[in-house]
Formats: sequence, structure tokens, C-alpha cells
Amino acid sequence: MIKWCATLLFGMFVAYEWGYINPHILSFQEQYQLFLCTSDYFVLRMFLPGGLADYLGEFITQFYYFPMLGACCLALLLVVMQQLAWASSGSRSSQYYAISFFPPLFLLAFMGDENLMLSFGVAGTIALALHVLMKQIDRWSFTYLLDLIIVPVFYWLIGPMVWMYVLLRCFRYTRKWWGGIVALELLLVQLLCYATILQQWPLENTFLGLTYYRIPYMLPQTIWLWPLIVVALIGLTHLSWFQKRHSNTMVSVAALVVVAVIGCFAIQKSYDEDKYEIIRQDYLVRSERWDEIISRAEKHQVNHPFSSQSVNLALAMKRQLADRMFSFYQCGVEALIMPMVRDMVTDLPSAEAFYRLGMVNSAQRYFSDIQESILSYRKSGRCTQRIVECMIVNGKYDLARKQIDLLKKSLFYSEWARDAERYLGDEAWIENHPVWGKLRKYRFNDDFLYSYGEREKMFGLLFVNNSENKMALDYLMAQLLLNGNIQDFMKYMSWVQQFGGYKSMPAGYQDAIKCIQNQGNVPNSPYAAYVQKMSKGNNQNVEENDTAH
Amino acid sequence: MRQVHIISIISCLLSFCFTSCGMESVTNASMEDSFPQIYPDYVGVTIPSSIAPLNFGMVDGNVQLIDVVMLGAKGGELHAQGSESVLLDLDEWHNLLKQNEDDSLKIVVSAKKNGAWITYRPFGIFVSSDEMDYGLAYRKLAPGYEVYSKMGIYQRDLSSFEETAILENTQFSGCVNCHSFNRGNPEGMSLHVRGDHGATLLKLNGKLEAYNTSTDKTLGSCVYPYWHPSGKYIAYSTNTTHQAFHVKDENRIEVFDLNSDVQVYDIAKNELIVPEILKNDSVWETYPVFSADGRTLYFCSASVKAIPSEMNDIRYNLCKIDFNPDNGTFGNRIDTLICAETMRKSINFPKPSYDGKFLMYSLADYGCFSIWHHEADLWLLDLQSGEARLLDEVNSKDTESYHNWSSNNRWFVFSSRRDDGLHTRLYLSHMDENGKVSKPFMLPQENPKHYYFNLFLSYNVPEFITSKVEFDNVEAGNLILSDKRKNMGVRMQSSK
Repeated sequence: MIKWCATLLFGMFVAYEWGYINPHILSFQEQYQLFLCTSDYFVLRMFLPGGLADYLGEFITQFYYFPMLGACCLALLLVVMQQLAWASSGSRSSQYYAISFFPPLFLLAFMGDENLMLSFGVAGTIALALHVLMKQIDRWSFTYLLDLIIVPVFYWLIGPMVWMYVLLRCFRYTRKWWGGIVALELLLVQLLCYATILQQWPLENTFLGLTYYRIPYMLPQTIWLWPLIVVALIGLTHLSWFQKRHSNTMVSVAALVVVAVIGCFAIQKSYDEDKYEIIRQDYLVRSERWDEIISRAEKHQVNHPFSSQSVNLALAMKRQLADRMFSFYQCGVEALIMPMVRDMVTDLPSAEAFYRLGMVNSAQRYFSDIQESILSYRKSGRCTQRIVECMIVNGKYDLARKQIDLLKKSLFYSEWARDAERYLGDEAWIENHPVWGKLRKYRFNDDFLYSYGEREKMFGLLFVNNSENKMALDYLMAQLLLNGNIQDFMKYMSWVQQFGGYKSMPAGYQDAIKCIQNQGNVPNSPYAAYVQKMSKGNNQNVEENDTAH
Repeated sequence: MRQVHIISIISCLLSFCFTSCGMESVTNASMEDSFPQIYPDYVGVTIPSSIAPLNFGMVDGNVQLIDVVMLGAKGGELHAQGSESVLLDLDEWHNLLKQNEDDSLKIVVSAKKNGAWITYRPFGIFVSSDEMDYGLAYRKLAPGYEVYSKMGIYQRDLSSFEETAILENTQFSGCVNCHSFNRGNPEGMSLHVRGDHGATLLKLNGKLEAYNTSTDKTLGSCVYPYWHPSGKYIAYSTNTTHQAFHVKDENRIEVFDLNSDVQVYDIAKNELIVPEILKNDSVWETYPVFSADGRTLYFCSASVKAIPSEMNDIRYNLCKIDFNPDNGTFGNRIDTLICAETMRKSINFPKPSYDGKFLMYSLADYGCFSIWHHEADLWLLDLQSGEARLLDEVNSKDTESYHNWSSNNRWFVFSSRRDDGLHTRLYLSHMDENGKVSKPFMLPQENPKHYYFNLFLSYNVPEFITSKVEFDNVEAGNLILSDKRKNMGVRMQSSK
């Protein structure tokens, strides 16, 4: 009874924590893949060792689109893993049931590294399941020989995690040298794969996995550490001391509590608070929960350019940018739009801001490059969706159709894709679309080359093209303030008064003007504080440069 | 890629199961006077007898079944059916083509739609006895902006659908580009790797070496390689390349040079020959290529303009300079073959045929990178008469850019964005000894409709290869990651 309660509690904890409290963790994983329900997709995955685990991992990850549903799937996987760890254990004493929670708990902790893919956990679960299955048929003499077939096959299906199975099987072999033979066979299979099929991949990946980690050439120690921990824990239960049967309920409960405390501690320590706050901000941007972004930033804001961009975007969407911008952390002149950075996270708020401003080509560029930055070479459902929108706004219907057909093959983007497909080529309908129609009006009238260093000019031009584009006006004024370009800020104040739609002068602009008039000597002025911080930073840079010379 | 090849095999097996159950007969078909709308468009094309089967599908997605009968003028017949694409038997196809060299095939296409058959007007495909090289080497990558994901250089056997990777960027963080062979001979190969482990890989006589082509006397690394026919030299340009992005939706990207020079690498002496006459600060020189006899170096040249204000005024002319392969020296005079500037156009990618008769180039409104210019077209210069003409036979409304000749000059390959306006596909075309050019055909695929529609990658820098490229990926990977680079010397050549 205690065992089942503990397992149920564990499952509920995962579902609640990942689905309700921290849905952003799952959303983050989901947005960097696009699982397609096609035979081609399955076959493509199966071309690499670990393909089945990869496929199943992505299959589960697609449910993260709805975090609660995804969390339930994750919880189920971890509960199965725990049960298999228990079934693999050498002891049947309920006192040691608690140990079986360590593999899923440590996996959850290691998943604090956002690049660890779910295929890693799936592969571990399959390896444990295989071990349990073989344990059941151990009484037949041919099972030893069966391992010679199973191991290469499962290397292909789940990747190098099959080493965990091989090590676990060593506890079962009566002739211990047989384990050496199976291990040698696996080693030879891996080398053979490297020499023939996997020539385009580093040797390290052949041995440690091609699909377990998002960055193939930067494998962390976790990749081999987790299976070793699992083997060590299960191996421990095979020791004679653990074979003795104990039936002390109090001890069982105490053991479960100790494991829970250790697990929670490990999980808490492995999820970097600032990193995950940024991931949460990204989730909130994706979900357009602007008020929540602002309210969270009021309590705690990570000093990172990503955070500046997200909060500024949220403020602009709520038309509070002019009032409150400098009450929040501003990283500098890049606080509104970042230059293109070759990673899959940093530029997401900039891409979203471009889209909403009507800089459709720039939005498409940023989303395309973000997608190309996914180092597991996957597509992104979120980015593809936005790219389609940009193509529709630009009237590139053939290209949009190609991307839409891709989305239609997915489970959770297909409905949206079918809806978007109905717009293709229908100019009048697009004009009437609440977002696309507006963006068509916001776009630049004339072509020129994008210049990151002249962002304020581009924002100004957007506004000149369409004075309804208040966000462009807010971004223009904000960029001028960030740049410290007081002259132009004062020059364009007339636009704010005429077209800004504010009943009174925004507090942020009043503060900035007061700063300008008093040459920065305004106590408790957010803008004065920003200017001081920036000039201090600039002075430091100048001093550092002088020293360097 | 090998994966795609195996998917094709599975499709073939399914198709076999389908056909082995017996083909449906075309009954009560209504006759249509127009040619069938097929994808890829193979109506009236000229093909070599060695080419892989021209499988195709109907453009109309509502067709339930396609029936194809191919009748050879000299005999032979092929009958196939398929739903998405008609998959022709490889051996039967090759037999039919061999039997009908220098003659035509008559193709009768019937399509079943809404339960009823339609038979279209038959069309012809001419089978040329002019041989085509073994295959193509090209790069495949997503048509992105500043960031690249997985990419690689691949080789494709043109007589089948087999595609294998020569080098992919999965072994290292970086990009691979600018692969080049000496008239398609895979024994000599130049290949660039960019990124943290940047290098120029040179394969000479079976030996692979990694070079640092950047020197303190030249602008930077060598790019755009072209082999001298003797195999003793490789012409390179060295460019300070940047890219910018259009804010409106016409051309996405503008690639431009802030500086560029032309130089020649002397392989035996491991020296870059840098002629002063081609190191002119007021002129940008790029895309060097040797003439068929190796005694002339053609290149593109433009007057330096202010960027970005004069971007649209950058116009490259086609120029030439004498080159003496005996001692590796250049002449003292630069001649302008085509002054594109006067036409308010810009010439890119000059490629002389190996028989010395023609030179093909790409013409765009401005700039040095016609690949991103939708208006770019292919032109052909007759080197004997000096006349240039627009290749109407192969051009489309969209981009035609990078191109290359087969080793016997009878075929050329070029890249075009005509398929969807973004993803570059390869097209092959025949040219007879008089310069008559045939309608191009898209690079055949096992199930072309499925393949191209699901392919989100572009092909670029297609090069013919006369045989399979033997390339040790493991050695190459280790070499790239080792960061051991052989430096090149520099030999400045005065213009006096």
C-alpha cells in the first residue's frame, strides 16, 4: 500500500510541478522540435543508433504543447521507470523500495540541463524494461545467447544506453565472463557502426549517443553518469545484505522521506533560477501573457538582455513602455532589439518584437535563424508557425503552403495550419485578419537594407508609414532614450503629443525631460539612474581600453 | 542522403507490391489536346541515355492514378503506373534509352481523376548519345540568413538515385563550401571549411591536406576556386564578404564584397601568386576562371562603390588577363570582354566551356551574388565571335545562377529558384556543338513530387564529377579538428 501511495504521489508531484507550477520548462522543450506523424519521419529517425528512443522522446515531447498533458506523459514515463527500477532491483524488501525512486529523480535533476533530450530518459526506461523482461525468462538456458542478438539490435534502437542493460545483466550471469563477451560484442558493433555508417559523426557520439543531447559535440558527463548511478543503485540491491527481508513500515516510510528530500534537493540545485526565469519569460511571451511578464519583473528581474527585451515588449504591448520602461532593468542600447546571436534562445523576444512592429522580413529572418540554431538539427513548430505568418503577410503563398503542409503533419499545429491555409491567396480575407491585415499596413512601403545600428530610424520610418503603428513610435522614443540621443528625443516629442494617443505626457518621458533639463541631477529618477549606469560602464570601457593600449 | 535513398527503396517496394497485383487498364479515356501538367516538367526535354529514370507525378494533386506508356522510336516500350509519382524500373528504363539513342521516346500519359481516365496529348523526350559525366557534387543546406544548421557536400550518381555525403558538418562546428574539381576529375579537389576550424582542404594525388590560405600580404582566405587545366594551379579570389538584408520582400539577402582580389595558387611551390595589376584598391576583382587552354584568366571586375548608398550601382564586367602557365606569370594588360556596366547589369560566375568555344555567366541587375537576385538569368558568350546571348531556352522568371559544364561540354547544370521562389533546385540541359541549347530537366529523383516538396534545403555549387569521389570522412574530420594547417607563401608579381 505504501509503495503504491509513494508511486502515485511521485507521479502527481511531477504532473503538478511540471504541468502547473513550471509549464515553461516543458514548453521550452516542445518549441525546439516539430514532431511529424508520418512514416518518413519515423524512418528518418531510425537511420541513426538510438533512433527509436529519439522518436519516442519526440513523440512524448510533442504533448508538452499543452504543458499539463505533457506533464502527465512525463509523469507516466517516470513512474514506469521507477517501477522498472524496482523490478530490476535484487531485493524485494519494501524497505528498499525507496531506492527505485532515485533513477527518475536523478533524471529529473539532470534534465535541469535544458539540452538533455527526453530520448535519454526514454532510452533508460527501455533499457530497464529489457532488463526486467530478460530477468523473467532467465530460467531458460538460451537467454544468455539471446543477449548476443538483443544487444546489437537495441544499440540501434536506443543507442549507447544499452550499455546500462549490459552492465545490469552482469549481475544475473552465473558465469561472469559472459558479461565480458557481451560487452566486447557491443564495443565491436559500435566501432563497426563508426567505421561504416557513422563516419560523418565524431567517435564520441558513437559511444555516448547521437540523440541524447541537443549539442552533439558538447556531451556532458551526465550522459554516462546517470546510467552508472542507476547500475550502481540496482547493483547495491543485489548485495547479500539487501537480500534479507525486513518489514518495518516506519523504516520504509523514513526511507521514502529521505529519498524525497534528496531528490527535491537535487532537483532544486540543478535548475538554475535565473536561467529558468528567462525560460519562463519566453514562455509568457509565447503565450502573450504580458501582464504576468510585467508583474514577475516587478518582483524579480534577471539582469540579462533577454529579460530587458521581453519586459520591454510586454510593456509596449500594454502601452506602458513610455511610462515605466526605466523602472525595469535595461541592459543598454540593445534592450529593445538584440543583434543576431547564433543561439536558439537569445533573439526570440527580438523576433517577436519585429513581428509585432510590422518588420516582417526581419521577423522571418530572426525566426529562420533561430530555427537554424537548433543544434539537434530539428525544426521548430513555434518558429515555423511565425515564418508562415510572415510569408502570408508578404504574399509568398507557395512558400507558405510548403511550410503549412509540414505543420499539417503534426498533431498540435495542424488545426492552425489548416486554418492558415484557407487564407492563402485570398487578399481580401488577409486584409481583414486582425493581425495579418494590420501587419500588411504596418510594413515598410519602400525597400532599403536593414541596419541594426540605425534601429531608431527604422522604427521612425515604420511610424511615418503608418501613424497607427503606436508600438513603432514607442520603440522609436525608447531607442532614442536608450541611446542617450536627447536631441532627437526632444525633436520627436511632438509626434508623441500629436499621435501618441496619451491623455497626458507619459511619466517616463516626463522623467527623461526632467533629467535633460537638470543635467541628470534628479533624485530617484529611473532614467537618470540608467544614464549614470551607462556612462559608468562607458567610462570603465574607456579606462580598460586605455590600460590595454 | 543515404536515408532518403532507403525511403525511396521502401517506396519502390510498395510500388512493386502495387504493380505486381496487376496494373489497372485505361478504359473509356477522354482525350485531352494539351500536354499533361507533370512535375517535374519533362515535356520535350533532351536527356542522356545514362540518366536515372525520369519519374514524375501530376501537378494536379487530385489525380488518383497515373498511367504512363513510353514508346521508343527505335523500338522498346515501358509501361508503368503510380499514384503520387510514376516509378519506372531502372534497368528497363536504361535499356529503353540505350535502344533509342539519338532518337525520341513518345510518352503517353493518362490520369485517373474522379474515377474517370483522361489521356493527354503525347509528348516526346529526345535521347542524346552525348555522354553525361558520372555524377554531380553539390552542397545542400537550408536557404537561411546568417546561421546554418546541418549541411554537407554530397555526390549523386546521375545514372541512379544514389546520393552519398562527401563531408557533413556533423563532425565539427562550422560550414563547408566551395568544393571544386579539375574538370570534374575527383582526384583533385579543393574544399573550404569555415568557422572555428576553418581551413581549405586540398586533395592532391589521393593525399588530403588542410591549408591556412590567409596570409599577411593578402586580404584573407581563398574562396571561389577554379583549377588550371594542367592541374598545377588553382585560381582563387580573396574577398571581404558581408551580407545585408532587404526590409521589403523582393530580394531577401544582398551579399557583397567590401574588398576583393584575384590570386593564383602554385601547387608545386606552395605559393600564392599575387599580381599587382589585380590588386587594385579602386577595383573589386572576383570569380577567377582559367580558359580552356589555361593561358587566359577570366574574372569579374567592378569599380569600388560606397556601401550601402551605391549598392545598386555595383556592376561587374567580364575581364581577362594573360597567364603563362610555364612560369606562373600574368600579362600586363586587362581586357574587358563584356562591359556589363554599360547595360546597367552585373556579370557573375563566368564559366568557360572546356573546349574553349563558349563562356556561360549569370547576369543580374547589380552586385556580385546573383544567387539571391530573382532577375538573374544565364547568358552564353561565344568566345570566337564575341557575341553573347540570353539563354531563353533555360531561363525562367526566377533566379538562374550557379552553373557548370560537363567534361565533354555537351551538358551543363545550373541552379534555379523557379520551383517555389526560394529553394534552389538543379537543372540539366544539353548543348550541341553549334551552341543549340535544349529545354532543361530537373535533377531526377525516385519520387520527385514527394522528395522536392518535402525538401527544405537548397542545392548549391553543382559540379560535374567524372567518377565517384573517394573521400576519407574520418581523416578529413580529424584533420579539420586538429587545427594543423599548412601555410601558403606569397609571390608578389610586379605589373612592370
